[in-house]
Amino acid sequence: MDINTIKKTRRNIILILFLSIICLLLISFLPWIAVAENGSVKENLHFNFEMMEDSDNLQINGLLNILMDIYILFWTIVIISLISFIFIVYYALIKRTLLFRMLILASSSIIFVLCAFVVYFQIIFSRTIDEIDSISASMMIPPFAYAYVQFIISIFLLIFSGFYTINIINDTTKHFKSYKIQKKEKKKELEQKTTKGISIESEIEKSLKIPSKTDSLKNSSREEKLAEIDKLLAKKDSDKDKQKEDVDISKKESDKQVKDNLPSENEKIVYEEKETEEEPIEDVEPEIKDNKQIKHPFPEKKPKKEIEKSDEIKLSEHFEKVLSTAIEKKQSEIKPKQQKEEKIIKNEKVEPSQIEKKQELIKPDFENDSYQKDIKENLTDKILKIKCPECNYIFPYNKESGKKIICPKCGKEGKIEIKI
Amino acid sequence: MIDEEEEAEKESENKEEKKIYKTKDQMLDESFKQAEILKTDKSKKVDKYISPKKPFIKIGALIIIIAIIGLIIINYVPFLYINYETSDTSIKQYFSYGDFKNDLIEPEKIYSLFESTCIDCSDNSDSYIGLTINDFTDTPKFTIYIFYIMIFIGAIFTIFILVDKKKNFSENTITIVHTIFTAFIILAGIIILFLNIKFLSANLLQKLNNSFLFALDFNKIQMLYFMTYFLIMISTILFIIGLILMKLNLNKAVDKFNLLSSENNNLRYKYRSKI
Repeated sequence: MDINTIKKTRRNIILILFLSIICLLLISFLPWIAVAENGSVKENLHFNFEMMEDSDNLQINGLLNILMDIYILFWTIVIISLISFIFIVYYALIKRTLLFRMLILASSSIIFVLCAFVVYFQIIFSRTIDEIDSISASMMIPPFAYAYVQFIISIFLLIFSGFYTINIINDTTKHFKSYKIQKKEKKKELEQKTTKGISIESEIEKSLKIPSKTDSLKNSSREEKLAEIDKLLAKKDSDKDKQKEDVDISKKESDKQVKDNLPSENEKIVYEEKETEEEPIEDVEPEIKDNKQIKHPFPEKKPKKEIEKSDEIKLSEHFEKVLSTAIEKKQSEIKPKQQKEEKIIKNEKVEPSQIEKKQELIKPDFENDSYQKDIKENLTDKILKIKCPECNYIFPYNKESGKKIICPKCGKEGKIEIKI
Repeated sequence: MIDEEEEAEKESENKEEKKIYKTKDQMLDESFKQAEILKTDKSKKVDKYISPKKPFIKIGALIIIIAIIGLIIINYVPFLYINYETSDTSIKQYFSYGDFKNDLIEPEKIYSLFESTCIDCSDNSDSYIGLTINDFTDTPKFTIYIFYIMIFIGAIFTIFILVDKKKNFSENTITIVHTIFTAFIILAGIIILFLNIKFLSANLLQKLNNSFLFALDFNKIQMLYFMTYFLIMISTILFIIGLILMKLNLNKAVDKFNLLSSENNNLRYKYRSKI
């Protein structure tokens, strides 16, 4: 069911329930008829539903039967509307199946038919009152009878129930039409790509059931690759800058700790370069070329580099000192653990060969586990699978690409809104 | 003189340089601080997933309280109050607390208001205000039963919520239970309203059929049904609560219908259409 129809059904079902309950209460509240008395008091005696029940007059009993029918109809409308309310909630939350869709449709059509019967019985009630001479409708203000109040409300009820049913019928017809069109299109496609030994109908049904996972996976893998390349490029740039800074800092004696940390960062660079060599960039690059939408991943980074270079030229000795102290601060705060380890190594006065061994031991852990996990986590953060509410097609979405989304299959536009 | 000028120039240059260094230093510190904040924020976002706390739904308890109040009203609030003038212009009052049928009312003609004693026999009706003596006994009895049912349903719902706190049911199951519960509340509200609205209707008929009551020697009669007024008030409150809950449940269902969660991370996304 479409979200638009769900919203409309929500509004209509509340209105139907509210109006039907009011009508039900009005049956026992309103005085319906006035009977001319010929006793000591020669006036009209007003009758409500309870009084009509107690009466022995046959004509009144005939009218009571019609009222009883209306009363029963309203009770059934109330109960069916409550059931359909539960159906709607259940459908929207858990089971979006055809069975529930049909149940909602059936309940809405029953409500509409019952409302139509209510109006019909009320018309009959007023006609029978007109036919009897001694009985007249109980008047609120002379031309306006009390019974009209309920009649007007029941007409409103009929209109709303009509809207309710039309809304659901339209949605179901749309659904079936779209299903047929999709089936035809798929048939045509498959006829073109007919292969021996594969039945066409089974394939159509398979493809129509749920948008295939393979398509989404293909797209997602492509997106993931692109995102990976973006990440690596960004890391490369940042590490190159870091390298330059570190080379300047290494000249001074005060930056011994920074010097000690440098190898670990160099390792990163080495690893990343290895990864870039290992990764099938050649396979991905043609895809980038094919899609004209995807241009350079970091077009804004060029002017930044230029600015940094110009700053480097202007750097004086004092500024270098300030820079070095700031970097010291940063690194001392960010990597206290590394410093601790280094201090321990220094205190123990381990031989350089042993340190190298330790570094080698650390290397593979860093390369294999933590760094790869970081990349994976970042990628999973970026790319999400999103299901289109119109055609149920699952497609990948990159969080950084913006809030607007368009379904690649049916072209439904929408906005993405984060809800934590 | 020239040396002094040169010294002054040097001093001024030094001051300017110091100023530049200070500003640059400040700029660097700020940029590092910002970078740190950004880094820490990201880590926080990744590490600390804010799991939505399930609110303890107190509606079950509220329904129990309403039902208990209703039972108290039935037992302690006067059901009927009659005030009328006799032919001697003397005012007579009468109070009834429920057991109207077994009360020995004086004068007995008060019964004729609710049951025809053939003072002025009419073939059309036994009573002029649409109430019988049985209504005074049956209505509180049935309303008491409904209040008991309400207490039972409310208790079940509160137990379910308490169990949910430990067993952690899914949101969908909670909302479905909630919808069934609201349907029961609405039904209970309607039944109580339907049982008691005839007393309100009696007041309207009293005005319309006043001449017939006057013929029965009830001049300037006032009939008030305090208990039923309170019960109608309670049932309307129940009915309104039911409708509000119904709307809330439907809203929740629509939101869920429009909400899509990602499998990779614990964020939930809302696909908003152009409606």
